[in-house]
Amino acid sequence: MPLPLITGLIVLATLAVVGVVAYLIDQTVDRD
Amino acid sequence: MSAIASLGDLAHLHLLLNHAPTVGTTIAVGLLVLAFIRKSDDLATVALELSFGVALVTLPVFFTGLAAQAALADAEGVSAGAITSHEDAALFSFVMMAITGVVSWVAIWQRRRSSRPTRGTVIAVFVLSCFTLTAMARTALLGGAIRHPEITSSDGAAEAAGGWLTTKAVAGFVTQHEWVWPTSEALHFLGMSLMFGTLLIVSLRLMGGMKSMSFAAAHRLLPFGVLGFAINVVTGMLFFIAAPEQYVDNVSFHWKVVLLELMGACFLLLTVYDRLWALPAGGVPPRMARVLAVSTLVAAVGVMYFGRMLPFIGNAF
Repeated sequence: MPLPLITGLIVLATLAVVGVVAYLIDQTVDRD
Repeated sequence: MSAIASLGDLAHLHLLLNHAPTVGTTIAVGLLVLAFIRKSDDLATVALELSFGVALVTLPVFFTGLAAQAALADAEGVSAGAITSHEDAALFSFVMMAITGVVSWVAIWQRRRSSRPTRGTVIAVFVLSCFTLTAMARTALLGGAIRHPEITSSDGAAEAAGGWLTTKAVAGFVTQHEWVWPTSEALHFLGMSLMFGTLLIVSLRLMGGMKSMSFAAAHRLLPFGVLGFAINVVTGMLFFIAAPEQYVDNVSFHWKVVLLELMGACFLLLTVYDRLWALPAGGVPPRMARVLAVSTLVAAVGVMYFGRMLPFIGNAF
């Protein structure tokens, strides 16, 4: 797999995980 | 730029700081037990704050450890095997401590935001802290064995630690795959952006900007900053472990770590400071809040600046 592709895919996957984790943390508190 | 510490100074600093993770985690676990018995939210909060603070201090403990290793190179009566065992145990302990620190921060953030009990997160911190304490105690024992023959068993405490989480295995992973370093660099920049973006918004509110927003609204963004911080600890550690010689004796890295500690402390204050939390939409921030905001931004910009200057002011690459 070419280097830019694997790098880009891992970066996007990490951002997706960060988004999901931040959402889940946010859900643990009440909406204000 | 003149050095702020020689390898010998850093080795000394390691000997001073290396007690903090073991002693600090012991106190944090004790406080948590007491908080459970006395059903005290305040005690639990103090334990969580201490746990986050100890995790922050563990960063320079690890970094100065590698400086101590470099300072001890070729020293008589020191076993390289004993140092490697200590280093590998330290890496595992560091990972455990970092996870405990992040979960502690989440518990502090939840407690600030919600009237709902966050018992699950606090129990998770307690369990993680117990594991971390065990790992740290083993690391301390192996570290002591480097220079304290009285605690070394007859067959030596320097048994080789196997497994994938050793500094050698991590360094090999980074250097043998050509995609790891550039990917980590890209993630390091994204982590930095997440962290700086969050801190900038929160700090601007505290400096008198964006008055229509309550501080509680800005506070909601903080988990993004912590996740950016976590990404950067992981990717930063990959760089450091793969090429420690680029960092341990690098003045730019030393300043970066000093400012990193300051930034972490500011992050904690932004999360827990009562008077900030009470700041309503349209409210004028207290003077101390402005000082905190400026300190946060100075530290954050400094961390980025000295990170970028590693090869130019310092001796990396």
